[in-house]
Amino acid sequence: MNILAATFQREWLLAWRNLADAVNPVVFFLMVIALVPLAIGTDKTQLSMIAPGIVWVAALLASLLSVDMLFRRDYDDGTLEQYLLLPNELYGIVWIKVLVHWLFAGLPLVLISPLLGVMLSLPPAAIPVLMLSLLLGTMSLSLIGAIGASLTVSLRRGGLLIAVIVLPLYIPVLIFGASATVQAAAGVFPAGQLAMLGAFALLALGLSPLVVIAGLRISLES
Amino acid sequence: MYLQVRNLDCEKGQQCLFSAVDFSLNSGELLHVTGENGSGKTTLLRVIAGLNHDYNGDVLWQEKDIRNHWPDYSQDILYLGHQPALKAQLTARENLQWYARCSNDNSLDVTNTQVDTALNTLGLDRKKDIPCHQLSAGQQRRAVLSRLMFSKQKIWILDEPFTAIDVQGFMPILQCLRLHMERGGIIVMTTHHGMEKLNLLHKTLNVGPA
Repeated sequence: MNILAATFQREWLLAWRNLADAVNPVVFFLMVIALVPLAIGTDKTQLSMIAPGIVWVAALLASLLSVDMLFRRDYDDGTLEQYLLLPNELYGIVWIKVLVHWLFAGLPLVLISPLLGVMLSLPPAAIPVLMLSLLLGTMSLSLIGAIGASLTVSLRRGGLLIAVIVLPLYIPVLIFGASATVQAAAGVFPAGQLAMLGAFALLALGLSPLVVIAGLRISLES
Repeated sequence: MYLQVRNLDCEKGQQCLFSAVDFSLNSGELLHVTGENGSGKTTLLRVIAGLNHDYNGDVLWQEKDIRNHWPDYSQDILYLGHQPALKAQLTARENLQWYARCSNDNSLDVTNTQVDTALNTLGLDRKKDIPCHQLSAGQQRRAVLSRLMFSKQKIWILDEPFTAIDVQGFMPILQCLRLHMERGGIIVMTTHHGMEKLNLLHKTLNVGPA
């Protein structure tokens, strides 16, 4: 527990000291959503029709953009080697790194989504569902993205490769997330979709660190 | 305590880095790994540290293969590589506190005192609260090496520990190495700063293609 508490403290402090990087995904997310009505026009029915899709695609791309940096600095300064020398704590360390990443890159998206829903004339009834689906979805996105990051961390230009690895795994989250919001906008509670998103999030919470550890080992062997 | 390497071969790409490396180290012994640039010194150290599993031959610790006893073995190793493994945005003290808390279960107060003492010994008393990216290369190295002061691990694997270190910084580290050997620890290291200056009893291993 000692190590996990210390790691959380350290990652949290690092995120604050690199705040400009940490809030990048949020700024990106905001910009996309703010530009859409300007490009498409202010027709409310049209906007509310595409709103769930736009919000979800923007959230997915924001997550994809930021996840590349998850292990990059640790790799460059040699910290990653030191992590691998703590095999008993590695699972917890990876988990905490992803958690802190999500707190800065995922959770803010959830918190500002009501505002964006209003900007895109999403029916008010759909907003709680939008928030809940983003809460579960961004968690999965961060955890899945970490797998791609772990595999590409030793490559100088891993940006495109990470997208190729991670996008197929992101797609189910996107489909269920967007469809939950669409259904909620139509006035039906999307229990099935939310259950699937919850299942994805739980599965990723448990299994993703294991895959990430294997990925990091491979990256550091070369 | 006994660290043994038997008939170790290692390749990088298609090229043989070194082959048939054999040595054994008892408690209190230091191995100085020598060789030209690119001869595989770092690779050898990484193999012994358990960070590189891509080799033929055996690395045995207390007569057990390290690949099969990895989590246990890793607790006995302190590996300081080329890169400083310090976070540039954190201060030396913050960096070191994390390492101190990882390597023992002492209370927060005890680890904090340990860290402060270590940094003072290495002459960083007035630089403790400055972000590491503002420290000079030598000061960063000193901060890294202060980990030795509170390390409980039995095997120290040091890759060029004295890079950028000046004479004043050198002495406390040397003392620390000596103390570790007196306590029965094992050290495997590479250095270009002639071992004669170190004045430590040691074995030498030359690596390179056969």
